[in-house]
Amino acid sequence: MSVDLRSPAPVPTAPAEDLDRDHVLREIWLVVRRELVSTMATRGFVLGTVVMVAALAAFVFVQAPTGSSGPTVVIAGESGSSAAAEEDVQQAFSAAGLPAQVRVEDDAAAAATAVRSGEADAAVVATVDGDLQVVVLHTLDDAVEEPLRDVVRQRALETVLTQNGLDPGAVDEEVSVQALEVVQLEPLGAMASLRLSMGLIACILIYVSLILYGVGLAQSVVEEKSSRVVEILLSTIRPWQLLIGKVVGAGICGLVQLGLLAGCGLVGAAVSGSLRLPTSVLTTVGWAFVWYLLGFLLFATLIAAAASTVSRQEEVAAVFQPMVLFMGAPFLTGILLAGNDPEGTLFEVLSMVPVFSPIMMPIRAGLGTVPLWQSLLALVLTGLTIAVVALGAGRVYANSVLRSGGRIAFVEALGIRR
Amino acid sequence: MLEVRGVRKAFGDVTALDDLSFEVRPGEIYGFVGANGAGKTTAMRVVLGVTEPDAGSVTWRGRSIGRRARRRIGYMPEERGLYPAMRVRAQLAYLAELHGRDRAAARRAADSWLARLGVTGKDDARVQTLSLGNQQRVQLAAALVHDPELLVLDEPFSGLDPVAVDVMSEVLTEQAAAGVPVIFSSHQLELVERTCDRVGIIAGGRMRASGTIAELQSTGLRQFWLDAPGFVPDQHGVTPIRTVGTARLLAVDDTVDERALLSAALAVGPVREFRPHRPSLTDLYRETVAADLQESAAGR
Repeated sequence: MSVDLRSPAPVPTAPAEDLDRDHVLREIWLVVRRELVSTMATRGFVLGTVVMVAALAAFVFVQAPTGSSGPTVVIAGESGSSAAAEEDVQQAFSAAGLPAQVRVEDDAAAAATAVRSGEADAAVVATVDGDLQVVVLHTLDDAVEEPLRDVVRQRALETVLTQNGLDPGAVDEEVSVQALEVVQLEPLGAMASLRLSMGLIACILIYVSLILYGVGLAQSVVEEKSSRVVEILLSTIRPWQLLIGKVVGAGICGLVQLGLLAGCGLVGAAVSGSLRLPTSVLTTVGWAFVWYLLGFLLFATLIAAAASTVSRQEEVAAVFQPMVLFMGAPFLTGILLAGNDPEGTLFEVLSMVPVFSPIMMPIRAGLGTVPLWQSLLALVLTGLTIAVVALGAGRVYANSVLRSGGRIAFVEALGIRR
Repeated sequence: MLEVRGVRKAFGDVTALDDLSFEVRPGEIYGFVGANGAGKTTAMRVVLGVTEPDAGSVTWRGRSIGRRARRRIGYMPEERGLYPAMRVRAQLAYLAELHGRDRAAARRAADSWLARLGVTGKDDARVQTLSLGNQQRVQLAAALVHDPELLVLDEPFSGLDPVAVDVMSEVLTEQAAAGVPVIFSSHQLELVERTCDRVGIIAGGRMRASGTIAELQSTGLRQFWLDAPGFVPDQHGVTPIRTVGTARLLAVDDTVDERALLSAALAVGPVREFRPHRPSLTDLYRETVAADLQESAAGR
């Protein structure tokens, strides 16, 4: 009794409307925008960011030289009449707004010992031929360098003047170009601790951010699934659009937070003078952002796909744990290798392996030891991996996101087994 | 007109839809009835493009249905679907935008539907903080907010309070009157009977019966109530369906003349009642499903 009008007559197909690129991009953008608003307008995001910025500020201020105890400078006996020199140095530092402790040691060896032991930040000693040089342990602080340069120049000027009775102006010009001779007792080379710690901080921030926003993304995927909003969404947009929108949205949230942190850190460091910022720092930060983005695309698509195979928030942990291990391996390897042998071949090779690159490359970028070709190779390899992973993840997502109930096997969701 | 033709869909070994066909005309309310797991939801998802059928076609206004057409469908999933933590107005505006409206129009539409459905002063409330009734209104608004050209509602009446049921019927009738074809599924058969222009009974993934209630009523055997104590209807072609007190409901096939039946009853004793019976949708549904059960049992 059914009114059956089976008609296998050919049906005119829809025009090329499905390839409507503007709509596709607009819909992805709408998803991204919703993710941004719903994440950034939460108390968690605001609080989390404030706490992280505050922690960073506290770190920067702890690192900052405290005003009361300025640098300690040692003057070796031979460097002229000690009392006068002591006064000159003190004055120069006071003029620079950085009152220094000035001590006089008997000879250059004693001064060097004081520097080596960390009692003094720098020592001014005279060389055999009468030139003045500055002795430091690793590097000469900018804040210390300026006043010392003034003192040394002044001394040289006075010497020249008293010896020759020349016009001070002309002589001033001559001595002003004279560079300050700096002797490093323990030069750091590529192991510069500042650069290493920059790289490590970048690596840690990237890892923490990947985990935090990865969890957020996983929960958001499951929320859509368990609340069945996904049915309404998928009646208008395709699964891959939703997947991309969600990944990009979460990535931007993480990037904004990292950007705020990096900005506050850099500004804070510059203002407080705790860290002088060579241009290499900006390069490090730049690379950190690039690798964060790539790392996020790589891991987040996997996370989203994994999350789409479960239906309840309680199950998120179960699918997230393997992901933590997956991301933790390159992180731990990176940290360990950076501590031991940051310029070793193992580190060099591993940092170009796709899953490792996003987390290990920032450390190397911080150290400034990455040849451009290695960076580019790692970028290309990671990019290719992202493409492959995104295709697989998109498939898993599309096959899983509408199926509720038990957890769906990855193999099944990939469509390998039906 | 929406036409679904020969749609098949299997999930693994389970056949969800088996050669399913039906059509819904402009301005028509089409009721989908069937047991849980009969295939109603899958059929709706196929219409929406959320589920890809293994075979068959869905056409809208004579053309294979595409993304653009699907953006103009208003959909209410069975288990509802809203972001629990999202604010009411933002949520509706988002869904309207996803369906192709611009931002300003989306907001206006959200506001006007909230007002129309009587959800006032809740614009900035999170959906999860609303009462169940209000959540359901917002859900309905979510299906209507982009001014759909076709409405597909999975169990829209389930869990509604009586007032909300009236609001829902009113809105559906109004939409249909404006020329929008409306498909909905429901277990509340009296409601379907009252609201729908046409009905499809689905069982085991197949469309068992489809048409207006009058058409469905006329396709089965004629039925009569006969209250004649002492009379045992044992003629060929007469099947008792059920008994209420001394009255019997009899199904009578075309070989039997009802006058002969009445005469036979009168010959035995007094006849207190003899009247034709128009089966309700509930009766039709029971018959259809029972037949289906027998069929599948026989098939085994």
